[in-house]
Amino acid sequence: MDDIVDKSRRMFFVKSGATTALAAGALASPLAGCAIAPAAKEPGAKNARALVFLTPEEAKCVEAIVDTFIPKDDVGPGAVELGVVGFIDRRLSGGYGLGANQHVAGPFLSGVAEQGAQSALVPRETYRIGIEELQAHCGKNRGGRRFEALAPAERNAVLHEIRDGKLDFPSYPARVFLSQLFNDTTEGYFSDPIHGGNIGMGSWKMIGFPGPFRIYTQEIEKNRDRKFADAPRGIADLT
Amino acid sequence: MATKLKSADVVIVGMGWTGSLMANELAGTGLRIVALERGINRPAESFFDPRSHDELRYSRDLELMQNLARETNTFRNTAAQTALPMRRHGSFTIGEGVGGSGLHWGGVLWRLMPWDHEARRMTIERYGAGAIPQDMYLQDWGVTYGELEPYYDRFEQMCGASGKAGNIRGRIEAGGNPFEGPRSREYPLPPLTMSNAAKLFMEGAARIGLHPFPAPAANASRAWTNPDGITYGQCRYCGFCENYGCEAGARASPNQTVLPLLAKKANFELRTNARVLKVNLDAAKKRAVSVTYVDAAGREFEQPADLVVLSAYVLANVHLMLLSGIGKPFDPATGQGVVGRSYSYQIRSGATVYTDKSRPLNPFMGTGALQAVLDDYYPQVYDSGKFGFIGGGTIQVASPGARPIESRPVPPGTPPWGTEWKRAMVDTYHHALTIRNQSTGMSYRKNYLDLDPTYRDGFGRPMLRMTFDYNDNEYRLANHFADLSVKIGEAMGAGKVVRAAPSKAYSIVPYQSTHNTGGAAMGTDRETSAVNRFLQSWDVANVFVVGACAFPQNAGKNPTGAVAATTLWAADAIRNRYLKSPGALA
Repeated sequence: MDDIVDKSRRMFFVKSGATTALAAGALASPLAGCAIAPAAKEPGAKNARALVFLTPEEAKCVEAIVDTFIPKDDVGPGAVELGVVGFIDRRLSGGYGLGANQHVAGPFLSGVAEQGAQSALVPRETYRIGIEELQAHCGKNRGGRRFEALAPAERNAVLHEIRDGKLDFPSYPARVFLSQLFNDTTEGYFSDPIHGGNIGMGSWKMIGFPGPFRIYTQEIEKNRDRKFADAPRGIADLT
Repeated sequence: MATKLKSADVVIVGMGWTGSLMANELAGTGLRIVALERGINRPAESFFDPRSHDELRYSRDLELMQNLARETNTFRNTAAQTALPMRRHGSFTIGEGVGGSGLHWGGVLWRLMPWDHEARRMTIERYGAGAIPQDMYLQDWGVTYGELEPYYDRFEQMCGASGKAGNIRGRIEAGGNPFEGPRSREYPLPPLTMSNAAKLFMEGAARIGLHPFPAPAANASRAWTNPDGITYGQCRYCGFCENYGCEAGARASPNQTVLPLLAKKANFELRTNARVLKVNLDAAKKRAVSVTYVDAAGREFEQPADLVVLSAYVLANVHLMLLSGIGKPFDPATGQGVVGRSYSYQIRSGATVYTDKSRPLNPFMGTGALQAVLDDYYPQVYDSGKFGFIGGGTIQVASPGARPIESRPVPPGTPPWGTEWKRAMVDTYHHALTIRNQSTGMSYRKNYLDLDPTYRDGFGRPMLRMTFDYNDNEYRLANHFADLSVKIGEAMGAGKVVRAAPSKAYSIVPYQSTHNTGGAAMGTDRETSAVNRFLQSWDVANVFVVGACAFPQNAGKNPTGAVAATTLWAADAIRNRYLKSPGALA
């Protein structure tokens, strides 16, 4: 099933020319680049691209953050065009978002950094609370504007303030928000496209990763002083 | 109320390497063996599928590891702190299900060095007893390398070990490790093909007079059928090895190597989704009568048995001993007691080398045990006394495969995100390698395992509490090894070498290694060890406790080879001595 969903998403992208729209910085549409923009007219056709957990307002903010982390530029594709917002939304809607495999029983006491994160926060809450508090901060300190309405350089400055400990949230450390978002952005950008991000294996092409399930037994010797540069293949191409 | 089941002759708790090897060795006796495994069964063939190489699923969501929502441990650096739960996977990743951590290991298959087995005797011989700090528990295993050699050999044969011998019956062989203990014969298969990064390391190290060699691997360098009739495919160097099942049937695992043998034994029964909660002892606490376990639905069962083998992971074995009252718990205040004593880990340091652009590394080509390594700085070989520490270790360059979510090095000074970060990542992907040490970790009075007074797991049991930090001895070692790594990096003639110092304190957060040791140390003195030299509980003679929990201190090498060898050694003692006359073997 996953394969079918994934292939249809990528086909949509190619057909709709969504990447071009993004290059023009189409943040006006909350769904642009999330692989969740309106597509066919048949009822049900939009299901695979609908937001599940994030609200459209939240999605705009997430889009602006992941676009700051990994912008589209001369180096390679941006996180938005590779479907990272849609990836994050799906991750949050499932077990990951609910903290599956995370130990979330109390008592919740704070300790030293070496003991690891101790709060009861699960990723869904990290997003929901963190986005609200980020927007409140921008409203107060950035002329009543929302984060996504800031110019790229300003967005970058706000995220750096969090990183440097100059901006904190009332409810929990803002750095937790930052590292959660960055972690999920890189997972969406670099994971196999079967998960909805890394559309067209764009990040793999950029760094030169040929994909999983390769057989290099003979290739190590054959490529001693040159790059092995075969085009990548993903899991769905092999199943 | 537990349902009482028909008695078994032997009950085995946990079906990783130790449990499966033990079951296989004892199956020939005809005894009725019941193995209880807390997780599911994943046959080796279930990984012959491209989806088995999904980095998000296996390296980030860690599908093969234990579910921390149900079971985890608490941790603190010192006894003055309050221990708190390890809420997310970090420092070590413990497997769950048939194969245990042997299903997701990288395959590095060492024999430990003679020194590791007799660290105390050899240290005193060289430096005198006064060189050992008072709070350091430096102990001999009670079994020597020479005694274990046949068992190391047997496991290498089972695994289709790929390597080059350095010492065959005292004769030094070119291309192998000249410092290793004498071996009875060559490895069954030739070494793996060295990656570009491993080659660079070997060239650099040789240039300054060191002795690099390919690490021994349980990843078959050629297709092979082992003496038990188990067939391995040839390693594909696909780069998805540790954390993953093998898609080529090339890496030895309990699932591939032992379970097919056990499937043919009518006297062996495997029960999966059977989580053992405790071992039940008789009133005198001298004899185990049964184990209590719950199935997937939470129903409780009591499985009586004449002999109990604890073969869960290091931490789970110690946990079960403490919960069941097998042996006296260690008390750091008095230094008395043995269960939970001698817990240890390995400290890390090294150097990152940003290599010459003319020699791209193809970093995605690799396998779990593909390493170039050297033992020039191992204890017994190197005079560490000159530098003020006991111990030493290996220095290596590993090529497990640069999977893109996990492996995207950038040079220091790179912005944390954005275009320049992307540019650095793309520029560096083919041109960075890490030289790192894997070092011995001594045991100390202040580092131990016990039961947590506050936190309970999903089954209502007190969690295991880990109190651990590094010591001056280990910091001196790690800093010295970082300097040595820089020297080798510079000898490689690379562009830029950046020293990686050890962390300021042990942290449970970043992944380091699943090489936890101790807590149920083996030895010849019941005052300082939890099990005797045959891995039999000193106090409860029909309980054997196998695994790296038996190591009195941590070696500078991966533990699996020695875990298997000591298990085979203990199985031999059970078969040939214990069963003939059940009782204390020492």
